Amino acid sequence: MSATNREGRADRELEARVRAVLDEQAADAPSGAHVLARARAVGEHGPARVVRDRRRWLVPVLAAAVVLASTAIGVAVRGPFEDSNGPVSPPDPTTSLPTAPDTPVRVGPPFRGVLPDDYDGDFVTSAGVLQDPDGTSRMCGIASDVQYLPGCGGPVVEGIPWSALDSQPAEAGGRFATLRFEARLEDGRLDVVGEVRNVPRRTVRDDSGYEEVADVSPCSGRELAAQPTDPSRITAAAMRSGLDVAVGVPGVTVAWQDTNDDATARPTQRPGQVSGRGAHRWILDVRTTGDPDAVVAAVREVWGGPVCVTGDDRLDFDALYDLQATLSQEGERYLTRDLLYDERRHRLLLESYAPTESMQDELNQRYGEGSVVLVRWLDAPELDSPAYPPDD
Amino acid sequence: MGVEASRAPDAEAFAERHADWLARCAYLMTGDREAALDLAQDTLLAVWRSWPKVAAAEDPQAYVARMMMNALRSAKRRKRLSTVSLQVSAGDGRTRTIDPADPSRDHDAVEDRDALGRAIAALPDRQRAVLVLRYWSDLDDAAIAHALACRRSTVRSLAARAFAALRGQLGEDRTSYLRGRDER
Repeated sequence: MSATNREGRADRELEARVRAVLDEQAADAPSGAHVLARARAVGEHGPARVVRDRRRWLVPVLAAAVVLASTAIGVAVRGPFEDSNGPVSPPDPTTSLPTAPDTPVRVGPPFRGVLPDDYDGDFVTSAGVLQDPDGTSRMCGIASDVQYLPGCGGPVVEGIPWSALDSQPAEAGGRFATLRFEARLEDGRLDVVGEVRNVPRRTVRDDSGYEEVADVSPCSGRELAAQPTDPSRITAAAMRSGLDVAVGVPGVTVAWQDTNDDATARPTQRPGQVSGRGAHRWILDVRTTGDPDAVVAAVREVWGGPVCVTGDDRLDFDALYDLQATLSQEGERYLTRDLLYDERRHRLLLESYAPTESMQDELNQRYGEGSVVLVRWLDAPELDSPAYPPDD
Repeated sequence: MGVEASRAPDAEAFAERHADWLARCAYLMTGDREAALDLAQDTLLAVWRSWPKVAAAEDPQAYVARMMMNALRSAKRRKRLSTVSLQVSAGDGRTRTIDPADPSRDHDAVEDRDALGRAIAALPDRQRAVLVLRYWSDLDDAAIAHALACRRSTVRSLAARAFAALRGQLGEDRTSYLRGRDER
């Protein structure tokens, strides 16, 4: 058996093992009937009605909790987030908090901007490159040492001197290697213009950071910590209710929980509390296209801690959701590598190999400024400092 | 308008038909029963809220999978679920919680499947999602690409990376794994 066949067989063996393990694990999942019961209870009595009558919802939700518990599915209203500080206290709508300006939130990975339309320089990158059996070479969006790649979806790369490089056979035919090269972009195609050499996989950009958006509140921690709050409604359960209430208010695009690291620690944490940080440190952050005061008033009925509301003049959630699907079909137009929903900022991050100012302008005109943000993937040494990727 | 008002009979039928799939898929995505219940519930509520769009989708299951992925991101941000703790069967009816922070722990003491289960649990969300949707849910790459809002090539890349990571976690390489089998 050839090495390639052996390795292809190994891939299929691992696939079979993955299937078996997932099947085994799925058997331990909660039942679909349980999910249905929970969803029906919440759907019929839950926060969706808060918009019309913010007071009435507390009674049916608590009643539903009792019913669910008595039918042995009481876990439906618990979660790892809940502590035992008990039921939500009566609302106190008199307290209000200031809203905050829309300040930038950091995004984890290198975040490089668009290219000027007249950019005339070259690009440099380290990337996996796969040569198909027909001789066409394409850049892979990732580094890979796995030969069972059916294909790579990046730009065509012309001028790779394969015979002078170390490469490995690909399962589907052709060969691949992880390479560092300089190239010029012409009509969506990369033409090699400089040295090409093998590099270790670890020098290739990793996109995993995009899944970890920094938990930064748009509001100042110290300022919020000083706001009047109701201690009886600063619990994990109250935060959870607050999030549910917030997303039900018209115009709200996103709500999330943040932690105020400036708050003075109190020794009241119990095992199981999230990240060892008590509820007294939490901030409920909300972005809305509507009236910030309405959000604050609604949230204050259930959550007694700090609230940070910021304005958002972009698309609502459903529209952005649809836009994500639309743009995913326009990959060639924007030289798209990936398209991510940045929930914290309620926007789409479109990773493009080489986005330009005019592309960004076009997206701004079509969908509103800030709805879709282009992120550049290829390095432009004449613009970026320091250049990425580093030499190994 | 509440959720109930928009719940059509077709939506109810869809929910009943896919409830088990939702629950299991959510469990495989989160690795935690409570988190799975929350995720499946949130997804189902979103399905009811947006039923016309789900019904009109070319592949409703892929559309719902995408809703679940977005709900998962939302849940992680809201609850700060920094790790995945997956309960795996010990083979005797009991379960134990695995530690994705150290998937190689107790490698010698557990069966191969448990080690693989831990390695899957330790994968980044998108890589694990690709494995779940492709090998458990049997969605094709186009549907998975829709669910993850990416291109098919990205799906393939994520799968390749997942397999490379699994081999790394298991201490296997592609040739040594078969070498032992061939020599038997």
